[in-house]
Amino acid sequence: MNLSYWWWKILGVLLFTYVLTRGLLTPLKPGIEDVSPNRAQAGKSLSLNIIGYNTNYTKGKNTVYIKNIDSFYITSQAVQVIDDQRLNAQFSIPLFLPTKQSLSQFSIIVSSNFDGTSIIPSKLILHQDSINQEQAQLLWLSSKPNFTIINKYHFPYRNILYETIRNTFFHVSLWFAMFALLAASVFNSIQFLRKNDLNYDFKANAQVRTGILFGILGLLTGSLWAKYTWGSWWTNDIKLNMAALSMLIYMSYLIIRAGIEDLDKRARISASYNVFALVAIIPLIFILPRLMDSLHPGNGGNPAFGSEDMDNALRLVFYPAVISFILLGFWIADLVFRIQVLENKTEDPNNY
Amino acid sequence: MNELLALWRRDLLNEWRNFYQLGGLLAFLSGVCYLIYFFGGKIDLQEWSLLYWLTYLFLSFFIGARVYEDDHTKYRFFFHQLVHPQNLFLSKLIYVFCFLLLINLISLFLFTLFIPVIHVDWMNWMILCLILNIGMSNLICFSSLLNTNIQNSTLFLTILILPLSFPLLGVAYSASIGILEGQSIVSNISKFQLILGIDLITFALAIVLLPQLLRN
Repeated sequence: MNLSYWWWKILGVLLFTYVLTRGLLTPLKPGIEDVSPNRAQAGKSLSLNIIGYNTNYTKGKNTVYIKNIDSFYITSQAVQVIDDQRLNAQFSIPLFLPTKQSLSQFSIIVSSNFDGTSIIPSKLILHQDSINQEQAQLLWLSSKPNFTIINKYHFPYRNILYETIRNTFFHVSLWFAMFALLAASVFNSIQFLRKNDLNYDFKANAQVRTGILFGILGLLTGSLWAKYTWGSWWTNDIKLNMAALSMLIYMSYLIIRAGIEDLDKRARISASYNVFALVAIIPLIFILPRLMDSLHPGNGGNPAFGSEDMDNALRLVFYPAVISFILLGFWIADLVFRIQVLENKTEDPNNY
Repeated sequence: MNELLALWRRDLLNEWRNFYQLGGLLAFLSGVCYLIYFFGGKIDLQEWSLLYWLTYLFLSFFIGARVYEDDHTKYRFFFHQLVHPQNLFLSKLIYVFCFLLLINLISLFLFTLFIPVIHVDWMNWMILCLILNIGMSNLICFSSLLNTNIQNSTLFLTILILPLSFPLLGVAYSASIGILEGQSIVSNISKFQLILGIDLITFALAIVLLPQLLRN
């Protein structure tokens, strides 16, 4: 076996296997799925029911905290464990809240010496009849409690994403691979225009076709994700629609190729169109969504790949996923290219 | 320069001689505006802007279908002996640019007449049209040239122009809403710069790729 020829294909398969196993089998960090009730009155006692996700409440000692945005805490008076996923915490809410408003949002934190610390942000709304911040600061803890930190390898828990966070490895990586393939196809189109060698045209065509396949898979995985997190298979989100439109641009590339019989003419015109097409999709996918509001991270002011979206545990699988999809994409494109060359030889043996 | 001017004048003369085509275009535009007025009722700024650019897009298909209609079929060899193909392309570019600008002016007049919105800053609107038309005329001419090399059908031209023009029209639509809402040109400057950037890139690409398209 010639390793210098095969190494990148082997690497692609190995990385893809790693992404599949590690990406699908690593559990999510324990989190809080829901709390009830989510409204309470200051100065009264509160019995809070907590539903956990991937938690093991029976296996550890649990403490529950209520926290406001300025980091003032109160600790639960008693915690009753119902099962691994359910807790009941008793609180005595002080008469005054450490805020200037009568209504304020609070987060719930569960610290367990088995699962570590989990939080559900801004889930509880507390109401106070009168405001006295000085008094409130005496009644609430101003120093951060000692939360238990457990260093296990977990993917982050996000309330609307749950297990679909794993789709990052497929959905985003497919787009990266698509762009790599399209960029390579433009390179080959330019090479064809410079050297007039039909092999470059076949390569560009194979890469565009594989790029379109990856783009459609990116749209499908995105649509699936949208249904789970946003509640609809398709939304008016700018990035989603611009991505679909960019696929249309490349569909036109295929139509152009299908419309021309003459090999050289087809190659020249489609190569020219291909260069134009990539230039057209850059503003569609990278610039327009940044000018408008979008649900996607990295657009409309949202951070992309920030610590809120991606932690180091995800990065450890995400980057190999991007590399593996790019390598697999080029492998598929290489196979398509070879099929085209063979087809061309069969049709007209004088071409080679 | 003289060659360019002569070609441009020839296109203008040709247009004048086939005035019925321009008349058809104006009739279409007036008809669309009247239909929107009649059936649309009171529409908001976003709908107004969307309809304006959609009408513009349909008219650009119509213009695109005629750019190389004769010059690349009937008179091809004749022209290629007389003028450089690049000059022919540039003259078409200037001609389409002027034609699109005229369409913009007439559309704006008819739209404001039939479907009055709160306020249209004509100056800002025309600056937007001016920079948009640089890129659009370039795309139309380039797509039209591609089309004559393929099958020379309007359907093909539509397939070529529609997706490629969307980045330009998308930004123009977004900027036009800002103008209709009374924003100053400064607040839309990033969108204008983006359109100019796309104009520049598409123009450079067209000039670079043109010799490849005309090689045979």
